[in-house]
Amino acid sequence: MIEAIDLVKVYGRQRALDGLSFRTGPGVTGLLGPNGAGKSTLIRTLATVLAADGGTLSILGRDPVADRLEIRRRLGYLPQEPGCHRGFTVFEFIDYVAILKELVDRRARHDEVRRVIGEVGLGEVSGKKIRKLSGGMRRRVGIAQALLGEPELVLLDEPTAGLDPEQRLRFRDLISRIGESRTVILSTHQTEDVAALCGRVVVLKRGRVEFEGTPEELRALAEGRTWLSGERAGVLSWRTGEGLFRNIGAAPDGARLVEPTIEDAYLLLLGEAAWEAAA
Amino acid sequence: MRTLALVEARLLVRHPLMLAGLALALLAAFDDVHAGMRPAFSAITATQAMFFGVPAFFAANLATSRARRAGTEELLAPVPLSRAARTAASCLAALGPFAVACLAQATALAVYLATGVRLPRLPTVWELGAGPLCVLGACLLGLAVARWVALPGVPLLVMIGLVSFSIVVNDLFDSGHLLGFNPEVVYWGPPPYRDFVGFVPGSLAWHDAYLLALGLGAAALAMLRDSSVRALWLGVGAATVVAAAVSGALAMP
Repeated sequence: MIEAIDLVKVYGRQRALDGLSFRTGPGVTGLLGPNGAGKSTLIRTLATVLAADGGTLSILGRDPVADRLEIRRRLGYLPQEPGCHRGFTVFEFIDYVAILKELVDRRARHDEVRRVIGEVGLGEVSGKKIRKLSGGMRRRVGIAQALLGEPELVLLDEPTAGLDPEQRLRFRDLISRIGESRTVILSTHQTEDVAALCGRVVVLKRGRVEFEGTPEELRALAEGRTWLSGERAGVLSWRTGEGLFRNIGAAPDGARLVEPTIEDAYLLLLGEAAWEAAA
Repeated sequence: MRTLALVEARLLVRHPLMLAGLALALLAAFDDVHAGMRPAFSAITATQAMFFGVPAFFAANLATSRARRAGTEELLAPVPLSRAARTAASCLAALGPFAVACLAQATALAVYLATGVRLPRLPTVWELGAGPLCVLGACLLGLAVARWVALPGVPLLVMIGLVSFSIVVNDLFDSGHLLGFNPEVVYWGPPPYRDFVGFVPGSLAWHDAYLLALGLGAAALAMLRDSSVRALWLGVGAATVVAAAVSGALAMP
Protein backbone atom coordinates (compact mmCIF):
# COMPACT_ATOMS: atom_id res chain seq x y z
CA MET A 1 0.00 0.00 0.00
CA ILE A 2 2.78 2.45 0.97
CA GLU A 3 6.44 1.77 0.39
CA ALA A 4 9.19 4.32 1.01
CA ILE A 5 12.83 3.58 0.25
CA ASP A 6 15.60 6.01 1.21
CA LEU A 7 13.24 8.97 1.13
CA VAL A 8 14.95 12.36 1.36
CA LYS A 9 13.43 15.80 1.86
CA VAL A 10 15.67 18.80 2.37
CA TYR A 11 14.76 22.28 3.63
CA GLY A 12 17.81 24.47 3.11
CA ARG A 13 20.54 22.79 5.14
CA GLN A 14 18.16 20.66 7.18
CA ARG A 15 17.35 17.12 6.08
CA ALA A 16 13.77 16.65 7.32
CA LEU A 17 13.71 13.14 5.83
CA ASP A 18 17.12 11.55 5.73
CA GLY A 19 17.02 8.23 3.92
CA LEU A 20 13.75 7.14 5.49
CA SER A 21 12.43 3.70 4.57
CA PHE A 22 9.29 1.93 5.71
CA ARG A 23 6.42 -0.11 4.42
CA THR A 24 2.84 -0.40 5.58
CA GLY A 25 -0.54 -1.77 4.57
CA PRO A 26 -4.19 -1.82 5.69
CA GLY A 27 -5.01 -0.99 9.31
CA VAL A 28 -3.83 1.84 11.53
CA THR A 29 -0.12 2.66 11.49
CA GLY A 30 1.21 5.10 14.05
CA LEU A 31 4.04 7.53 13.35
CA LEU A 32 5.79 8.42 16.58
CA GLY A 33 8.62 10.83 17.07
CA PRO A 34 9.69 14.00 18.84
CA ASN A 35 9.28 17.46 17.35
CA GLY A 36 11.41 17.83 14.24
CA ALA A 37 11.64 14.08 13.67
CA GLY A 38 10.01 14.43 10.25
CA LYS A 39 6.49 13.15 10.98
CA SER A 40 4.62 16.06 9.41
CA THR A 41 7.02 16.19 6.48
CA LEU A 42 6.43 12.49 5.87
CA ILE A 43 2.63 12.87 6.15
CA ARG A 44 2.68 15.85 3.76
CA THR A 45 4.83 13.88 1.33
CA LEU A 46 2.39 10.95 1.50
CA ALA A 47 -0.45 13.43 0.92
CA THR A 48 1.35 14.59 -2.26
CA VAL A 49 1.50 18.12 -0.85
CA LEU A 50 5.31 17.90 -0.84
CA ALA A 51 7.53 16.13 -3.34
CA ALA A 52 10.48 14.14 -2.04
CA ASP A 53 13.93 15.29 -3.10
CA GLY A 54 15.27 11.76 -3.30
CA GLY A 55 14.47 8.09 -2.82
CA THR A 56 11.57 5.99 -4.03
CA LEU A 57 7.99 6.28 -2.90
CA SER A 58 4.97 4.24 -3.85
CA ILE A 59 1.53 5.25 -2.57
CA LEU A 60 -1.41 2.93 -3.24
CA GLY A 61 0.88 1.19 -5.70
CA ARG A 62 1.46 4.38 -7.70
CA ASP A 63 4.17 6.95 -8.24
CA PRO A 64 3.24 10.22 -6.46
CA VAL A 65 4.85 12.34 -9.17
CA ALA A 66 3.45 10.66 -12.27
CA ASP A 67 0.09 9.62 -10.78
CA ARG A 68 -0.49 12.44 -8.32
CA LEU A 69 -4.08 13.06 -9.37
CA GLU A 70 -4.98 9.38 -9.20
CA ILE A 71 -3.53 9.17 -5.66
CA ARG A 72 -5.31 12.36 -4.60
CA ARG A 73 -8.63 10.86 -5.69
CA ARG A 74 -8.06 7.96 -3.29
CA LEU A 75 -6.78 9.70 -0.18
CA GLY A 76 -8.17 11.66 2.74
CA TYR A 77 -5.97 14.09 4.63
CA LEU A 78 -6.27 15.88 7.95
CA PRO A 79 -3.33 18.25 8.51
CA GLN A 80 -2.00 19.19 11.90
CA GLU A 81 -3.79 22.55 11.84
CA PRO A 82 -6.68 22.01 9.48
CA GLY A 83 -8.57 25.29 9.87
CA CYS A 84 -12.16 25.57 8.69
CA HIS A 85 -14.19 28.24 6.97
CA ARG A 86 -15.78 29.58 10.11
CA GLY A 87 -18.64 31.36 8.38
CA PHE A 88 -19.80 28.09 6.78
CA THR A 89 -22.09 25.60 8.44
CA VAL A 90 -20.69 22.10 8.99
CA PHE A 91 -22.73 20.82 6.04
CA GLU A 92 -21.70 23.69 3.75
CA PHE A 93 -18.02 23.23 4.52
CA ILE A 94 -18.00 19.46 3.99
CA ASP A 95 -20.08 19.94 0.85
CA TYR A 96 -17.58 22.51 -0.40
CA VAL A 97 -14.68 20.09 0.14
CA ALA A 98 -16.74 17.34 -1.54
CA ILE A 99 -17.00 19.51 -4.66
CA LEU A 100 -13.22 19.98 -4.60
CA LYS A 101 -12.97 16.20 -4.36
CA GLU A 102 -14.88 15.96 -7.63
CA LEU A 103 -18.14 14.68 -6.18
CA VAL A 104 -20.21 16.42 -8.82
CA ASP A 105 -23.66 14.85 -8.71
CA ARG A 106 -25.59 16.98 -6.23
CA ARG A 107 -27.82 14.30 -4.73
CA ALA A 108 -25.05 11.70 -4.40
CA ARG A 109 -22.72 14.35 -2.96
CA HIS A 110 -25.23 15.46 -0.35
CA ASP A 111 -25.83 11.83 0.64
CA GLU A 112 -22.08 11.36 1.04
CA VAL A 113 -21.77 14.56 3.07
CA ARG A 114 -24.55 13.42 5.38
CA ARG A 115 -22.87 10.01 5.69
CA VAL A 116 -19.49 11.36 6.81
CA ILE A 117 -21.10 13.90 9.13
CA GLY A 118 -23.02 11.02 10.70
CA GLU A 119 -19.88 8.90 10.87
CA VAL A 120 -18.12 11.49 13.04
CA GLY A 121 -21.23 12.09 15.14
CA LEU A 122 -21.95 15.66 14.06
CA GLY A 123 -25.41 15.02 12.60
CA GLU A 124 -27.13 17.22 15.15
CA VAL A 125 -24.92 20.23 14.47
CA SER A 126 -24.64 19.94 10.70
CA GLY A 127 -26.58 23.20 10.25
CA LYS A 128 -24.50 25.07 12.80
CA LYS A 129 -21.81 27.60 11.86
CA ILE A 130 -18.31 26.19 12.38
CA ARG A 131 -17.31 29.25 14.41
CA LYS A 132 -19.83 28.15 17.06
CA LEU A 133 -18.35 24.65 17.48
CA SER A 134 -15.90 23.53 20.16
CA GLY A 135 -12.30 22.62 19.26
CA GLY A 136 -13.10 18.91 19.44
CA MET A 137 -16.07 19.27 17.13
CA ARG A 138 -13.97 21.22 14.64
CA ARG A 139 -11.45 18.37 14.66
CA ARG A 140 -14.30 16.03 13.85
CA VAL A 141 -15.28 18.29 10.96
CA GLY A 142 -11.68 17.89 9.77
CA ILE A 143 -11.92 14.10 10.03
CA ALA A 144 -15.29 14.10 8.27
CA GLN A 145 -13.87 15.85 5.22
CA ALA A 146 -10.97 13.37 5.19
CA LEU A 147 -13.48 10.51 4.93
CA LEU A 148 -15.31 11.90 1.90
CA GLY A 149 -15.46 9.48 -1.00
CA GLU A 150 -14.40 6.53 1.17
CA PRO A 151 -10.66 6.98 0.55
CA GLU A 152 -8.41 3.95 0.62
CA LEU A 153 -5.70 5.89 2.42
CA VAL A 154 -6.40 8.25 5.34
CA LEU A 155 -3.59 10.48 6.65
CA LEU A 156 -4.13 12.06 10.05
CA ASP A 157 -1.51 14.45 11.42
CA GLU A 158 -1.84 14.75 15.20
CA PRO A 159 -5.63 14.47 15.22
CA THR A 160 -5.85 14.24 19.02
CA ALA A 161 -3.64 17.24 19.81
CA GLY A 162 -5.33 19.60 22.25
CA LEU A 163 -8.32 17.38 22.94
CA ASP A 164 -9.65 16.51 26.38
CA PRO A 165 -9.64 12.83 27.47
CA GLU A 166 -13.28 12.24 26.57
CA GLN A 167 -12.82 13.66 23.10
CA ARG A 168 -9.68 11.59 22.66
CA LEU A 169 -11.62 8.45 23.52
CA ARG A 170 -14.22 9.33 20.90
CA PHE A 171 -11.45 9.86 18.39
CA ARG A 172 -9.90 6.52 19.16
CA ASP A 173 -13.23 4.83 18.60
CA LEU A 174 -13.70 6.68 15.34
CA ILE A 175 -10.19 6.06 14.03
CA SER A 176 -10.25 2.39 14.96
CA ARG A 177 -13.50 2.01 13.00
CA ILE A 178 -11.98 3.77 10.00
CA GLY A 179 -8.93 1.53 10.24
CA GLU A 180 -11.04 -1.62 9.95
CA SER A 181 -11.48 -1.12 6.23
CA ARG A 182 -8.75 1.33 5.16
CA THR A 183 -5.12 2.20 5.54
CA VAL A 184 -4.76 4.89 8.18
CA ILE A 185 -1.47 6.66 8.92
CA LEU A 186 -1.67 8.44 12.24
CA SER A 187 1.06 10.88 13.21
CA THR A 188 1.10 11.56 16.93
CA HIS A 189 3.07 12.44 20.04
CA GLN A 190 0.73 10.34 22.15
CA THR A 191 2.10 6.87 22.86
CA GLU A 192 -1.24 5.97 24.49
CA ASP A 193 -2.98 6.55 21.17
CA VAL A 194 -0.51 4.24 19.45
CA ALA A 195 -0.98 1.55 22.09
CA ALA A 196 -4.76 1.82 21.84
CA LEU A 197 -5.16 2.09 18.08
CA CYS A 198 -2.26 0.95 15.97
CA GLY A 199 -1.44 -2.42 14.55
CA ARG A 200 1.94 -1.12 13.49
CA VAL A 201 4.18 1.66 14.71
CA VAL A 202 7.01 3.53 13.02
CA VAL A 203 9.27 5.61 15.26
CA LEU A 204 11.10 8.47 13.57
CA LYS A 205 14.21 10.23 14.78
CA ARG A 206 15.93 12.99 12.86
CA GLY A 207 14.30 12.02 9.59
CA ARG A 208 15.09 8.32 9.80
CA VAL A 209 13.17 5.25 10.93
CA GLU A 210 14.42 4.23 14.36
CA PHE A 211 11.95 1.42 14.85
CA GLU A 212 9.30 -0.35 12.80
CA GLY A 213 7.07 -3.10 14.17
CA THR A 214 4.03 -3.78 16.32
CA PRO A 215 3.32 -1.78 19.49
CA GLU A 216 4.03 -4.94 21.47
CA GLU A 217 7.43 -5.30 19.82
CA LEU A 218 8.14 -1.67 20.67
CA ARG A 219 7.12 -2.20 24.27
CA ALA A 220 9.32 -5.30 24.50
CA LEU A 221 12.39 -3.12 23.82
CA ALA A 222 12.11 -1.82 27.37
CA GLU A 223 11.55 -5.27 28.90
CA GLY A 224 14.05 -5.75 31.76
CA ARG A 225 15.21 -2.16 31.38
CA THR A 226 12.54 -0.35 33.39
CA TRP A 227 12.73 -0.30 37.16
CA LEU A 228 11.81 1.66 40.27
CA SER A 229 14.30 2.96 42.82
CA GLY A 230 14.60 5.41 45.66
CA GLU A 231 17.00 7.61 43.78
CA ARG A 232 17.54 8.77 40.23
CA ALA A 233 19.31 6.20 38.03
CA GLY A 234 19.34 4.90 34.44
CA VAL A 235 19.55 6.81 31.17
CA LEU A 236 16.21 8.53 31.84
CA SER A 237 14.35 8.75 35.13
CA TRP A 238 11.54 10.69 36.73
CA ARG A 239 9.79 10.81 40.09
CA THR A 240 6.44 8.99 40.22
CA GLY A 241 3.43 9.84 42.34
CA GLU A 242 4.56 7.38 45.03
CA GLY A 243 7.85 9.24 45.50
CA LEU A 244 9.93 6.57 43.75
CA PHE A 245 11.96 7.14 40.59
CA ARG A 246 11.00 5.30 37.45
CA ASN A 247 14.22 4.58 35.55
CA ILE A 248 14.87 3.43 32.02
CA GLY A 249 18.15 2.04 30.80
CA ALA A 250 20.47 -0.80 31.71
CA ALA A 251 19.06 -2.06 35.02
CA PRO A 252 21.53 -2.79 37.84
CA ASP A 253 21.57 -6.22 39.53
CA GLY A 254 18.67 -6.69 41.93
CA ALA A 255 16.74 -3.76 40.50
CA ARG A 256 12.98 -3.70 41.13
CA LEU A 257 11.91 -4.30 37.54
CA VAL A 258 8.44 -3.27 36.43
CA GLU A 259 6.29 -3.92 33.40
CA PRO A 260 7.33 -1.37 30.73
CA THR A 261 4.89 0.67 28.69
CA ILE A 262 5.19 1.76 25.08
CA GLU A 263 6.16 5.17 26.37
CA ASP A 264 9.08 3.66 28.30
CA ALA A 265 10.29 1.93 25.16
CA TYR A 266 9.78 5.06 23.07
CA LEU A 267 11.79 7.16 25.53
CA LEU A 268 14.49 4.52 25.72
CA LEU A 269 14.67 4.35 21.95
CA LEU A 270 14.96 8.05 21.40
CA GLY A 271 16.90 8.96 24.53
CA GLU A 272 17.45 12.64 25.13
CA ALA A 273 15.58 13.85 22.05
CA ALA A 274 12.35 12.25 23.26
CA TRP A 275 13.03 13.33 26.81
CA GLU A 276 13.29 16.95 25.69
CA ALA A 277 10.14 16.59 23.59
CA ALA A 278 8.24 15.00 26.49
CA ALA A 279 9.39 17.76 28.85
CA MET B 1 -15.16 22.97 -12.16
CA ARG B 2 -18.63 24.09 -13.29
CA THR B 3 -20.15 22.97 -9.98
CA LEU B 4 -17.48 24.82 -8.05
CA ALA B 5 -17.98 27.94 -10.18
CA LEU B 6 -21.70 27.88 -9.42
CA VAL B 7 -21.06 27.48 -5.69
CA GLU B 8 -18.45 30.25 -5.70
CA ALA B 9 -20.80 32.52 -7.66
CA ARG B 10 -23.55 31.92 -5.11
CA LEU B 11 -21.17 32.64 -2.23
CA LEU B 12 -19.90 35.77 -3.94
CA VAL B 13 -23.35 37.14 -4.73
CA ARG B 14 -24.46 36.51 -1.14
CA HIS B 15 -21.37 38.19 0.32
CA PRO B 16 -22.43 41.03 2.68
CA LEU B 17 -20.23 43.57 0.87
CA MET B 18 -21.76 42.57 -2.45
CA LEU B 19 -25.28 42.97 -1.09
CA ALA B 20 -24.36 46.34 0.41
CA GLY B 21 -22.88 47.41 -2.95
CA LEU B 22 -26.00 46.37 -4.81
CA ALA B 23 -28.19 48.28 -2.37
CA LEU B 24 -25.98 51.36 -2.69
CA ALA B 25 -26.01 51.18 -6.50
CA LEU B 26 -29.81 50.93 -6.56
CA LEU B 27 -30.14 53.82 -4.11
CA ALA B 28 -27.77 55.91 -6.20
CA ALA B 29 -29.69 55.04 -9.38
CA PHE B 30 -32.82 56.66 -7.92
CA ASP B 31 -31.21 59.43 -5.90
CA ASP B 32 -30.72 62.09 -8.57
CA VAL B 33 -33.30 61.23 -11.20
CA HIS B 34 -35.33 64.44 -10.97
CA ALA B 35 -32.37 66.85 -10.90
CA GLY B 36 -32.24 67.01 -14.67
CA MET B 37 -31.82 64.84 -17.75
CA ARG B 38 -28.09 64.52 -17.48
CA PRO B 39 -28.01 63.47 -13.78
CA ALA B 40 -30.80 60.98 -14.48
CA PHE B 41 -28.92 59.53 -17.45
CA SER B 42 -25.71 59.36 -15.41
CA ALA B 43 -27.52 57.72 -12.51
CA ILE B 44 -28.60 54.76 -14.59
CA THR B 45 -25.47 54.37 -16.69
CA ALA B 46 -22.59 55.32 -14.40
CA THR B 47 -23.32 54.72 -10.72
CA GLN B 48 -22.53 50.98 -10.64
CA ALA B 49 -18.81 51.51 -11.23
CA MET B 50 -18.39 53.26 -7.92
CA PHE B 51 -21.17 51.99 -5.70
CA PHE B 52 -21.25 48.36 -6.81
CA GLY B 53 -17.80 47.94 -8.35
CA VAL B 54 -15.77 48.99 -5.31
CA PRO B 55 -17.59 46.69 -2.82
CA ALA B 56 -17.49 43.92 -5.45
CA PHE B 57 -13.70 44.26 -5.64
CA PHE B 58 -13.35 43.80 -1.88
CA ALA B 59 -15.96 41.03 -1.72
CA ALA B 60 -14.18 39.04 -4.44
CA ASN B 61 -10.85 39.62 -2.74
CA LEU B 62 -12.17 38.37 0.58
CA ALA B 63 -13.93 35.39 -1.00
CA THR B 64 -10.79 34.36 -2.87
CA SER B 65 -8.54 34.73 0.16
CA ARG B 66 -11.02 32.80 2.33
CA ALA B 67 -8.93 29.62 2.49
CA ARG B 68 -5.76 31.51 3.32
CA ARG B 69 -7.41 33.56 6.04
CA ALA B 70 -9.12 30.49 7.55
CA GLY B 71 -5.93 28.41 7.41
CA THR B 72 -7.52 25.74 5.20
CA GLU B 73 -4.99 25.90 2.37
CA GLU B 74 -3.06 22.93 3.76
CA LEU B 75 -6.25 20.92 4.14
CA LEU B 76 -7.28 21.70 0.57
CA ALA B 77 -3.80 21.25 -0.91
CA PRO B 78 -4.20 17.56 -1.88
CA VAL B 79 -7.77 17.68 -3.24
CA PRO B 80 -8.06 16.43 -6.82
CA LEU B 81 -9.31 19.78 -8.15
CA SER B 82 -6.11 21.73 -8.69
CA ARG B 83 -5.49 25.25 -7.49
CA ALA B 84 -5.50 26.44 -11.09
CA ALA B 85 -8.92 24.87 -11.63
CA ARG B 86 -10.15 26.54 -8.44
CA THR B 87 -8.86 29.90 -9.66
CA ALA B 88 -10.57 29.36 -13.00
CA ALA B 89 -13.80 28.52 -11.16
CA SER B 90 -13.48 31.73 -9.14
CA CYS B 91 -13.00 33.69 -12.36
CA LEU B 92 -16.16 32.15 -13.81
CA ALA B 93 -17.95 32.90 -10.54
CA ALA B 94 -17.47 36.63 -11.22
CA LEU B 95 -20.20 36.20 -13.83
CA GLY B 96 -22.63 35.89 -10.88
CA PRO B 97 -22.24 39.52 -9.73
CA PHE B 98 -22.14 40.56 -13.40
CA ALA B 99 -25.54 38.96 -13.93
CA VAL B 100 -26.89 40.61 -10.78
CA ALA B 101 -25.58 43.98 -11.99
CA CYS B 102 -27.28 43.47 -15.39
CA LEU B 103 -30.52 42.62 -13.60
CA ALA B 104 -30.19 45.75 -11.45
CA GLN B 105 -29.71 47.87 -14.59
CA ALA B 106 -32.75 46.34 -16.25
CA THR B 107 -34.81 46.87 -13.10
CA ALA B 108 -33.71 50.49 -12.77
CA LEU B 109 -34.51 51.20 -16.42
CA ALA B 110 -37.94 49.59 -16.08
CA VAL B 111 -38.67 51.73 -13.02
CA TYR B 112 -37.45 54.86 -14.88
CA LEU B 113 -39.77 54.15 -17.76
CA ALA B 114 -42.68 53.25 -15.51
CA THR B 115 -42.33 56.38 -13.39
CA GLY B 116 -41.69 58.77 -16.29
CA VAL B 117 -38.16 59.84 -15.43
CA ARG B 118 -36.97 62.29 -18.13
CA LEU B 119 -33.92 61.15 -20.09
CA PRO B 120 -32.29 62.80 -23.13
CA ARG B 121 -32.88 59.46 -24.87
CA LEU B 122 -33.10 55.78 -24.01
CA PRO B 123 -29.68 54.43 -23.01
CA THR B 124 -28.19 51.90 -25.42
CA VAL B 125 -27.20 48.40 -24.38
CA TRP B 126 -23.56 49.56 -24.44
CA GLU B 127 -24.33 52.40 -22.04
CA LEU B 128 -26.24 50.10 -19.72
CA GLY B 129 -23.54 47.42 -19.98
CA ALA B 130 -20.66 49.59 -18.81
CA GLY B 131 -21.68 49.36 -15.12
CA PRO B 132 -21.99 45.56 -15.03
CA LEU B 133 -18.68 45.27 -16.91
CA CYS B 134 -17.07 47.43 -14.21
CA VAL B 135 -18.49 45.05 -11.59
CA LEU B 136 -17.15 42.04 -13.51
CA GLY B 137 -13.72 43.63 -13.85
CA ALA B 138 -13.69 44.65 -10.19
CA CYS B 139 -14.41 41.06 -9.12
CA LEU B 140 -11.68 39.68 -11.38
CA LEU B 141 -9.18 42.27 -10.18
CA GLY B 142 -10.05 41.55 -6.53
CA LEU B 143 -9.48 37.87 -7.26
CA ALA B 144 -6.13 38.50 -8.96
CA VAL B 145 -4.92 40.66 -6.07
CA ALA B 146 -5.93 37.95 -3.58
CA ARG B 147 -4.06 35.30 -5.58
CA TRP B 148 -0.86 37.34 -5.86
CA VAL B 149 -0.59 39.24 -2.59
CA ALA B 150 -1.23 37.88 0.89
CA LEU B 151 -0.75 41.16 2.76
CA PRO B 152 -4.01 42.45 4.24
CA GLY B 153 -3.68 46.16 3.36
CA VAL B 154 -2.82 45.66 -0.30
CA PRO B 155 -6.39 45.48 -1.70
CA LEU B 156 -7.12 48.87 -0.15
CA LEU B 157 -3.95 50.33 -1.69
CA VAL B 158 -4.91 48.91 -5.07
CA MET B 159 -8.35 50.53 -4.84
CA ILE B 160 -6.85 53.86 -3.80
CA GLY B 161 -4.51 53.57 -6.79
CA LEU B 162 -7.42 52.85 -9.14
CA VAL B 163 -9.47 55.80 -7.91
CA SER B 164 -6.42 58.07 -8.13
CA PHE B 165 -5.80 56.88 -11.67
CA SER B 166 -9.42 57.60 -12.51
CA ILE B 167 -9.17 61.14 -11.16
CA VAL B 168 -6.10 61.74 -13.33
CA VAL B 169 -7.92 60.35 -16.37
CA ASN B 170 -10.93 62.55 -15.64
CA ASP B 171 -8.76 65.59 -15.23
CA LEU B 172 -7.16 64.89 -18.59
CA PHE B 173 -10.57 65.00 -20.25
CA ASP B 174 -11.89 67.80 -18.06
CA SER B 175 -15.22 66.09 -17.44
CA GLY B 176 -15.44 67.09 -13.79
CA HIS B 177 -16.34 63.58 -12.58
CA LEU B 178 -14.56 60.89 -10.70
CA LEU B 179 -13.88 57.36 -11.97
CA GLY B 180 -12.36 57.16 -15.43
CA PHE B 181 -13.78 53.68 -15.82
CA ASN B 182 -17.20 55.29 -16.11
CA PRO B 183 -18.78 56.08 -19.43
CA GLU B 184 -18.74 59.72 -18.26
CA VAL B 185 -15.38 60.46 -19.86
CA VAL B 186 -16.51 59.01 -23.13
CA TYR B 187 -19.79 60.60 -23.98
CA TRP B 188 -20.61 63.78 -22.12
CA GLY B 189 -20.17 67.28 -23.32
CA PRO B 190 -18.43 69.91 -21.18
CA PRO B 191 -19.79 71.14 -17.80
CA PRO B 192 -22.04 72.50 -16.28
CA TYR B 193 -22.80 69.11 -14.81
CA ARG B 194 -26.53 69.33 -14.33
CA ASP B 195 -27.39 70.80 -17.71
CA PHE B 196 -27.79 68.58 -20.70
CA VAL B 197 -25.50 70.07 -23.33
CA GLY B 198 -25.34 67.10 -25.60
CA PHE B 199 -23.33 63.94 -26.03
CA VAL B 200 -19.81 63.95 -27.43
CA PRO B 201 -18.92 61.39 -30.10
CA GLY B 202 -17.06 58.90 -27.92
CA SER B 203 -17.82 55.21 -28.49
CA LEU B 204 -19.46 53.38 -25.63
CA ALA B 205 -19.13 50.09 -27.51
CA TRP B 206 -15.34 50.53 -27.56
CA HIS B 207 -15.44 51.69 -23.94
CA ASP B 208 -17.19 48.43 -23.05
CA ALA B 209 -14.56 46.52 -25.01
CA TYR B 210 -11.92 48.41 -23.02
CA LEU B 211 -13.57 47.45 -19.70
CA LEU B 212 -13.92 43.83 -20.80
CA ALA B 213 -10.26 43.70 -21.87
CA LEU B 214 -9.18 45.06 -18.49
CA GLY B 215 -11.34 42.47 -16.72
CA LEU B 216 -9.98 39.62 -18.82
CA GLY B 217 -6.48 40.92 -18.18
CA ALA B 218 -7.12 40.64 -14.45
CA ALA B 219 -8.41 37.08 -14.95
CA ALA B 220 -5.27 36.21 -16.93
CA LEU B 221 -3.18 37.67 -14.13
CA ALA B 222 -4.97 35.45 -11.60
CA MET B 223 -4.51 32.35 -13.78
CA LEU B 224 -0.85 33.19 -14.30
CA ARG B 225 -0.30 32.71 -10.57
CA ASP B 226 -1.54 29.13 -10.38
CA SER B 227 -1.57 27.58 -13.82
CA SER B 228 1.11 25.18 -14.98
CA VAL B 229 0.84 26.65 -18.50
CA ARG B 230 2.11 30.09 -17.61
CA ALA B 231 3.18 30.93 -21.15
CA LEU B 232 -0.45 30.65 -22.24
CA TRP B 233 -1.66 33.10 -19.61
CA LEU B 234 1.23 35.45 -20.26
CA GLY B 235 0.14 35.47 -23.89
CA VAL B 236 -3.51 36.03 -22.97
CA GLY B 237 -2.49 38.81 -20.58
CA ALA B 238 -0.40 40.52 -23.25
CA ALA B 239 -3.28 40.26 -25.71
CA THR B 240 -5.67 41.88 -23.22
CA VAL B 241 -3.22 44.74 -22.63
CA VAL B 242 -3.08 45.41 -26.38
CA ALA B 243 -6.87 45.07 -26.65
CA ALA B 244 -7.38 47.50 -23.73
CA ALA B 245 -4.99 50.04 -25.22
CA VAL B 246 -6.57 49.88 -28.68
CA SER B 247 -10.20 49.88 -27.50
CA GLY B 248 -9.46 52.60 -24.92
CA ALA B 249 -8.02 54.82 -27.66
CA LEU B 250 -10.95 54.10 -29.98
CA ALA B 251 -13.44 54.91 -27.21
CA MET B 252 -12.19 58.45 -26.77
CA PRO B 253 -14.07 61.30 -28.47
